[in-house]
Parts: sequence; C-alpha cells; structure tokens
Amino acid sequence: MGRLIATRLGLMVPTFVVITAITFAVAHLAPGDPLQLADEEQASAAVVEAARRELGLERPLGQRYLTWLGRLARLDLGASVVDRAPVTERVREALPRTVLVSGLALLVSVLASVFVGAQLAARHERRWARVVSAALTLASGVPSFWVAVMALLLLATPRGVELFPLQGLSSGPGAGVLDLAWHLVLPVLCLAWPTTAMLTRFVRDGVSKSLEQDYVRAALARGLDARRVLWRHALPNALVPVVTVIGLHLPHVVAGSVVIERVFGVSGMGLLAFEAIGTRDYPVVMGVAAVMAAVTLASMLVTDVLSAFIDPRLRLPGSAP
Amino acid sequence: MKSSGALLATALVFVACGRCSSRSASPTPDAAWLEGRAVPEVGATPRRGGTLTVRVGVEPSGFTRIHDRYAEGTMVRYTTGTLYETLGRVDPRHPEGPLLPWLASAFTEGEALTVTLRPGVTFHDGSPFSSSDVKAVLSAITAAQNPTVAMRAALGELASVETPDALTVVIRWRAPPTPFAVRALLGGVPMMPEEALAGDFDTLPIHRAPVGTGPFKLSSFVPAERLVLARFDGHREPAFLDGVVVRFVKDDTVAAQLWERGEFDLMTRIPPATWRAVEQQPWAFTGYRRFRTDENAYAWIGWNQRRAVFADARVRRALAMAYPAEVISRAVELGLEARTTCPFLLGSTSCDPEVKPIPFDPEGAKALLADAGWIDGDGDGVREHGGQPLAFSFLMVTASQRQAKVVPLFQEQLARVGVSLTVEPVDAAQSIQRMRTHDFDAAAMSWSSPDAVTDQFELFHSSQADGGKNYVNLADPEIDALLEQIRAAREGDARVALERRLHRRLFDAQVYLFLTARPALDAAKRRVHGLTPSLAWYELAKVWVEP
Amino acid sequence: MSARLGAAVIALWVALALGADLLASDLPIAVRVDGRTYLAPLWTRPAALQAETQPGLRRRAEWMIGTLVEFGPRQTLATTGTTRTDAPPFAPDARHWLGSDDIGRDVFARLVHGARVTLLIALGVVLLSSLLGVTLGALAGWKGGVVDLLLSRALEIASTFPTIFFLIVVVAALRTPSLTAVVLVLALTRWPEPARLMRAEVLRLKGLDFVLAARALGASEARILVRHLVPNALAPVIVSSTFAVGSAVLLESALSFLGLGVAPPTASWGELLQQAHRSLVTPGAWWLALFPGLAIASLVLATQAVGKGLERRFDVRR
Repeated sequence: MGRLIATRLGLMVPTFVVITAITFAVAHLAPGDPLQLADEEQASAAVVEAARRELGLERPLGQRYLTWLGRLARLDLGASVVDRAPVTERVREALPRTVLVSGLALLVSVLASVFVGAQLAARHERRWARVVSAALTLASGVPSFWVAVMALLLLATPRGVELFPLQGLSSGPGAGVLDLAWHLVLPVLCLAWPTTAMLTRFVRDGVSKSLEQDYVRAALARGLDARRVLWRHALPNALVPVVTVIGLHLPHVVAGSVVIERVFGVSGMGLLAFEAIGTRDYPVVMGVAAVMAAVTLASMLVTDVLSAFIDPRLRLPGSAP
Repeated sequence: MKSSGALLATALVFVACGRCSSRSASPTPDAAWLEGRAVPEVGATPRRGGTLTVRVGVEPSGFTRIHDRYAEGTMVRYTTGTLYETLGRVDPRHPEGPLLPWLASAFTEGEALTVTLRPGVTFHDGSPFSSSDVKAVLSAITAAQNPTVAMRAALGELASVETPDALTVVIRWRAPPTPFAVRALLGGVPMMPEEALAGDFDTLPIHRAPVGTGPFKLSSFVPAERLVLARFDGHREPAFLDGVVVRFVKDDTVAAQLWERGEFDLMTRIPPATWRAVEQQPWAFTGYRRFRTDENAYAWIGWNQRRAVFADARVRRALAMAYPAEVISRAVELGLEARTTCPFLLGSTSCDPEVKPIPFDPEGAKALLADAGWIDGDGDGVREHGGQPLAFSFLMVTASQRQAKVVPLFQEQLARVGVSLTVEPVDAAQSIQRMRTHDFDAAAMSWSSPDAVTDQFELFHSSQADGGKNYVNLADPEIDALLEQIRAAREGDARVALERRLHRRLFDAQVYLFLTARPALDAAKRRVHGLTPSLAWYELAKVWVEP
Repeated sequence: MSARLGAAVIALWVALALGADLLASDLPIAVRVDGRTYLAPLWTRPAALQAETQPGLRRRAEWMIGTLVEFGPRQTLATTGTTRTDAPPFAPDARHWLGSDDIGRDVFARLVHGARVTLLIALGVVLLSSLLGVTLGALAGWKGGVVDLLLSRALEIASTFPTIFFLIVVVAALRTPSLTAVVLVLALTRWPEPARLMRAEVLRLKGLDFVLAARALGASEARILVRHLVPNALAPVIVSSTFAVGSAVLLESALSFLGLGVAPPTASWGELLQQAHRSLVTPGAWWLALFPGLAIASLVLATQAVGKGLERRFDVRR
C-alpha cells in the first residue's frame, strides 16, 4: 500500500506539469490579449507596449511557462491582469462557493441515488418503480441548463411562483444561513439532476445484479429479513463502483458547472474561468487550471487508494485495474 | 402626480387581485410612461434618509479614471459626480455650452488658465482640498512613466502648474491649447488628495478604495456583486440619501427578472425588448416611472479602408442602401432609436440638417454596384470585379444581443443584391484587438461620451490609424484638414460651421455607416424623486426617496 | 422507450435532417415562371430567382411545387412577406407552425435545418472519438508495457479533468468556431471511453485460444490485431458510442448556450435554445424554448433506448 501511494505521488508531479503546460499553451494561443480589453476605448499603442513588456508577453511561450511554474512553487499565482487583484484571492473567493454548491449537489445525488436506486432494484416489479425508472431516463435526456432556465422562469419570477431568489448566493451583507440555504436550493437541485439520474441507474443495476448472487439468495433462503439483506448485503457490494464514480467526479465539484453557475449567477470557479478566458486574463485562467489539475490528481490518488483498500488485488504493482 | 390615496387604492386592488393580471377594471398607463418622459416634480419636499438600489450592467475594475486601465467610458458616469468631482462640469441644460464651475469657483482663460478653487471643500478622509491636490493630480497624469496616456493625450502638453496660494492654480501649456484640452482638464480630471497619489502609481490603494470630494463615499465593494456608497456628511451640499447600493448585474435577461421582482429602485440600461414588453404591464406602470433620455452615443458599422473591396465610395454607398433600417427599427430597436448620420450629439447644431440618412433601396444598390463595375458574371449570386468577389467577413461580438439580430438581417439583404457577408463570431477581447490592428473587414461598434462637446480628431484623422481610434483607417486629406481647423478654432459659430462641413464630408465618404443614436432607457420606482436625466447620468445627490 | 421506437425516432430525425431542404426552403422544389422552368432552384439557386421567395413566386408562377414550409432557415421577417406590424417573436399560427424567433425566422425551418447540424456534429464527434479511442486502446492493450502505462495515465487524466473547462479554453483559442472545429474539440474530450473499453477487451481477448492459434499459424502482429482482435472487441465500443450520440447532442447544446457553438446564422439545436434564453424578456415566448427542448430530449432518449437494446443484444455490461 505504501509503495502504491509513493509511486502515485511520484507520478503526480510530471502529470501536473503536463496538464498545466497544455492549458498554458492553449490559453496563450488564443487571439487577443488582455491589455487591449482592459482599457476598452482609450489606450494608445505606447501604453499597450509598456504594459505588455511589464507582463512579459513578448517573451517566448516556454520561458513564460517556466516563470509561471517557478512562481507557483512559491505558491504565487500572480495578479489578475484586469484589476490587479491577486489570483489567490480570486480563487479563495470563488472556491468556497463552488465547493458549497457542487459539493451539496454531489451529496444530494449520492444520497438520493443510493436510496432510490436500491429501492428500485428491490421493487422493480412495482408500478411506481417503473414510473420512477422512466422519469430517470427522461431526466437524463433533458439538458440541465434548460431545466435551470425553466426552473427560474417558473419558480423565481413573478410570472410563475416567486418562491426562490433569482441570482447569487446571498441577499446582501449580513444575511444568515437560512438565506444562504434558500439561495442554494435551485442551483444545487439543477446541478444534482443529471448526476442523480446517472448514479441511480448505476446503483439500481448494481444492486439488482448482486441480488441475483448466490450469497444473497442464500441469505434470503436462510430466512433473513429481506430489507436487511438489501441494505446490509446486496447494497455494499454494489457501492464499490459508485465510490470510483464519485472519486472521478470530484474535480467537477471544484470546476463547478459553468452553465449552472452562469444561469444562477453564482460567481464560482466555473464562472471565474469562463470570464477570465473572455477577458484573456491569463494569470486567473492558469490559477484556476492549477487548482483543478491539483484536485484532479488528488482525487485520482484517493480513488486509487480507496479501490486498493476495498479490492486487495489492485495493490499488486503492474496489474491492470 | 397621483395622490397617495389613489396609489394606495391601486396597490390594494393589486394585492387583492394577486398575479391574475388585468381582470377587473385595469389601470392604463399614462402618456408620460409610454413616452418615457420625465415629468417635472412640483411641490414635493425632499426628505432625508433611505437608500437607493441601482442596477448597473458594467463593473469597474478600478475607480481611478485617470489610469488607462480604469478609463472605461461607461463606468465614468457612475463614479464621477458621486465619488469624485471635477473643477468644472457640463451644464445639464446646455450641454454644448461652456462648463459651469464646480470644485472651482471661477476659471479665466487668458495667456494661462487661472483656476480659483472653492474654499472649504474637504475630502472624504477629512483633509482639505487645496491647490496642491490639483497640482498632484496633474503631475500624476503628466508623469511620462505613469499609465495615464489617454488622459495625458486629452490634456495636451502642459508647460507648468503653479500654485501661488492654497486656492489658486495657474496652468500653462507649451502651445496654445485646443478648447477640447481645456475642457478635458476642467471637466474630466477627478480631484484626489495629494497624499493618496504618493508612491508607485500603478498599485496605489486609491484605485480600489477611492477618496474624493463627491457627495458619496465608498462604504464597501464586493466584486461581481455590489458597490455600497454612503453619504459624505462633510459635503457642502449633503445628499438626501443615506446611501446608494450599486448592484452589478451584467445579464440583461436576469436584470429584467430582478427588476420585475422589485429589487431595484433605479433600473438602468433596459433593452428595447424589455422596454416594450413591460409597457402594458400594471406592475410596471403603477410602480415605476420610465426615462428615455438622449445620450451622446451612436452605433456604426465601419468598412476597413485597407480592404480593396471597400475602396470605392460607390460600393460603400451601395452597402448602406442595402441596410434594412426600417425592419431593424421594427424588430430590434422597436422604434426607440432615431437614425443618425452624424458623429455629434443628435440634433446638435454641429450636424448639418441638410444631410439625410440613405434610404433602404436594394434596386438602387444593385444599379450602383453594376455602375461601379461589380457584376455577377459567373452566376453564383456574388458580384465580382477584376476577378475579386464582393465578399467580406463581419466581426460579430458573441455577447452582443443586438448584433445577433442586426447582422443576420443585414446579411440577408446584402445577399439579395449580390454581396456575400460571412459572420465571424469573436468575443469582446478579440474584437477590439482586431479592430485596433486593422485585422478585420467590417465590424459594428458604438461610441459614447458623457459630454456633448467631443473632439473627432482621434476617430477620423489619418494620423490616428495606428495607436488612435481610427480603426477603419480613414485617410482623407479634406477630413484631416477640417479636423485640424476644428482643433484650432475657438468655441462658437466658426467651429460649428467647420463641424457641419466635417459631418457632410464624413457622410459623403461613407466609411462609417452611421446607424442610430442610442437613448438611455431607465426606470425608477415612483417613490424615488429628484431624478433629472442628463448626458452625465443622474445627479444622485439631489435624489430622495419616500419612506 | 423501447429500442425499436428509439430507432424509429432516430430514423425520423435523420430523415428530417436529410430532407430539410425539401421541408423548408426559401425557394421551391420546381417552378415555371416568366416562361422558364426551374428544377430544384432551392439547390441550383439561379441568379434570376436570387431575390425571390416562395409566397411571391406562387402568385406569379404558371405552376409550382413548393416545399412543405415556405421559409428557409435564414429568412427573416424582411422577406417572409409577413403583414404583421408588431415586433417578433411571433407565436405559432398557420404561417409559422412552431412560431418565429426574434427576427421573424421560422422556428420549424430552423429546427429541421438545425437537426442537420446537430446530428452532423454528434455523429462526427462519436465517429472521430471512437476511431481515435479504438486505435489507442487497441495499441495499449496489445503492446502493454510503457505504451500501456502512458496511455492509462493519459486516460485517467483525460476522463477526470473537467471537460467543460478544457472546451472553453480550446474554443476561445480558435479563431472562429466552425463546424469542423466544434467536432474536433468535442471529439478530443470523448476519446477516453472507447479507448478504455477497447483496451480492456483486447487485454481479455489476447490470451484466448483463437489469438494463440492465429499466432501459431504465423499471422503478423498487425494482422492479428486488426483482423482478429479489434472486430471481436468492438461490441462494447458500439454500445457506448450509441449512448455517446446523446451526450454529444447535450454537450453541443451546452457549448452553444455559452456562445461557443457553431457560427451564426447557422441553426443548431443548442443555438435555438440559446436564443430562447435571450428571448426570455419577451413574456410567454414559450415556443422558442419548448420545441428545441423537445427535439433534444427526444433524440437523446432515443439514442439511450437504442443503446440499451444493443447492450442486451451484444450482452455487454457497461
């Protein structure tokens, strides 16, 4: 186990470099540069040239990437080109919002899908189970942003029912936890929607498969309570692949969904990245990319270790998972 | 004005009726609402207290107008006048006339510009405003190493700034200044405390935490969310409002929905579609007043003169004849914008009244193109001349809802006269970079100014093609000469005559296809009073609210 | 939805997309006017009919075979010959069966022509990514060693790194989002799945008897891989690709929604939904959101149903 972790950690550094280098190159190949947007109508060539030099935009790409990497080693992500705010500050503002919304959405999906999925597998012959299954299929076919826009239109405007707030995560300075929760309902549900539809079917299929296994049949034959067999015997086995799915989904928790953040005006990581690319604010784009690459690698490590913990066969080096 | 009783009754009817809209005897909007006319208020006594929540669609990245990075034209109006004050100000009643004194009590132009400051003015931090602050601000602008190029260019070359006493400033130029330079100095330079400008200019805290002399001071700033201003009690004419909350909502659709939920006291930049959509809705006309105010802003389409297809003036005129102005007015502008042909404020004396917009005339366009030698010889639907097809690309800013509608409408008509327009979607960052470097065929943009007096030199002089704002690369000796003469002329009839000639010449050249003058479309809750629209936005210090 | 119904829905959309010109166009299928007969002017686009429309021609023509809907996807209110003086969007009526958008373009015409673009993108993405994934996966599974290690690593990263972030960066880097570019970008984000499936299958199959037999018979490495292994390992890839058509449609609509889709005025379903969002300020313009939403949902569900059917047929457990 220790060796596995050590190998993985050793591999992480070059992987991180590759991911960020690719992002760096692609982002900097985008036409347009930040200084020309920042002063929309009034800058002259002289000031643009001076500022370009200051940012080092005329140096070769590789050299600029190395500088960036060197600064990163000192945990310095640089400052936004647009407003000179430190990128770490920007990330620190955006990250909690995204983690809150996407993390809650993931939690909701997991809880709902485990519960509903197990129930569906155990009672697949019931009419309601068929209805729910059909609804899940339907749900996975509808774009989540369409659902989000419709939800806002119906549940947050005077034209429908004015139940929820339209935008953001807070009604203003000093608003309490209840206010936050109220703001979170729609974005969390809309973000949880597709994941729940996917995971539920995953759990349902897994549980129905293990319900057919001999040990489960044996347990039932021994006269154990059917409910107990479902929750204590069949479900845990079906959850192993679910853990992997969740692990692989973690980076998305951090990236947030750009679309959902945009529709609900949550200024999290997704929106930060989207807007930074729009204004060619490279330090911010790269800051977000670095955080995302780090989380991606960390979640891969955690998934690996967890899988190895659950399934000892995977601890052998060289074997294919 | 309605009596409060009637208002209350209306409100009660509304509450009783709920959201079921117009079932019983529904109220009807009045003429002022439909036209968006500001009705002068009489007899109301201003009341102190309360806050005003304003929707703003653009967000500043900093609050120092003199810094190139923060000089965005549209943001200036929200900060100058509330946070900052200038020496002089545009007369709201005669925007084209001379400036009125503001932080100055008088200014006299002779060999030098002598400014006498208003006594007793203090900054938000309590320090008194004096001539040394004026000198410090001007020095920060003129220091060659500072990123203040735009402001420096507008002021012209200053020779000296002298401060004989605490309330007198004498400013000299190297050469006699243009009237535009004097106006920019008096009306465009926000006054900041001397101490706040000490240090590395680019990273000064004042860019993010403004300290001015205006009627409001900064309370808090949450990027992407809100800017909270509080009344500055040390102001010579304290504001009525306790504070102003500026909420940054970029998306027009979202803003409209928030507005409908009653979250803004003052809703700004209403898109034409929303303006029309709320026209007959009781929640809107019972609860709000609308203001449709002329601004000094116009939209245009520019043809890059470095492209051979646009070399012939007849081609440019034919393109203008294929522009379906009436359909666009009906479908996009919804009849809210007036056509213009002039770079000056709509209806200004500087515009030649003889010049009329080119009417939509596809047959005329075809004839003119054929006349210029552009004929569809190979039958592919696109005209050619000398082996070159009459085809070009159009930079379309993806975020612009207006361009998303206008460009396909124009494209369709152009195709019918044998001109091929290809849409090239770009984001805003890319669009401006490409226009500045002349790397485009055609593009749409708009210019705006908070002042009615504008210098057209930077837009149309051939020397401004690189580094200036002459993106279309216009190089016309006659226009160059006119622009130089206008700069040298004093204010008055002589300059107006030159400006009219400039207007006519620009129209004949058709390098810009002038589209419409864009009004500001705003709405305010009926409990908000004292809003007087002007070119330089509202004077928030005069605004008061009913409890 | 049963697999059969799903296949029928897909077939219907493919038919609508292929026949979009015959269903909705600005020029007729055939017409005789001014003493001349034009066959298929909607494709040949003769110069004499350049500024004509179907309602206009119908009045003057001796005879005419028109399209089902007399408007093309780019025809705005300036040329549809509408007599309405109010501002679009217009609600569904006898002229515009599914209504019109905010510059008077017919939603039905845009929907069927948009189906063409959307299907083309979805199919292109799936084919391209499957090709890429199958090649890489087969190589990794067959060669093993360093190749496999590198690919497995790349696979993990590519399937974990948030797709949408990558998409935004790449699209912003492109000068113009053309159809090909959108297909390429989306394909770049989907190759890991077929690669993973292919690799696993090849790993499983390469120890089996028939491979050993082929090798004993002296077949070359390449021949074994291409002729024996890949065809036998394709089933899971085919099943997953069917599902992927649906997700590509969803992804395309999300990209267009962010303004990063195919260049206007080309219609695609995502672009139609984006326009619906833009037109939310017009109260009650429900037809703009409903019909493209239904179209997307029907296609995605149909691909899932067919995928399920194939899964059962091939007995593949994903």
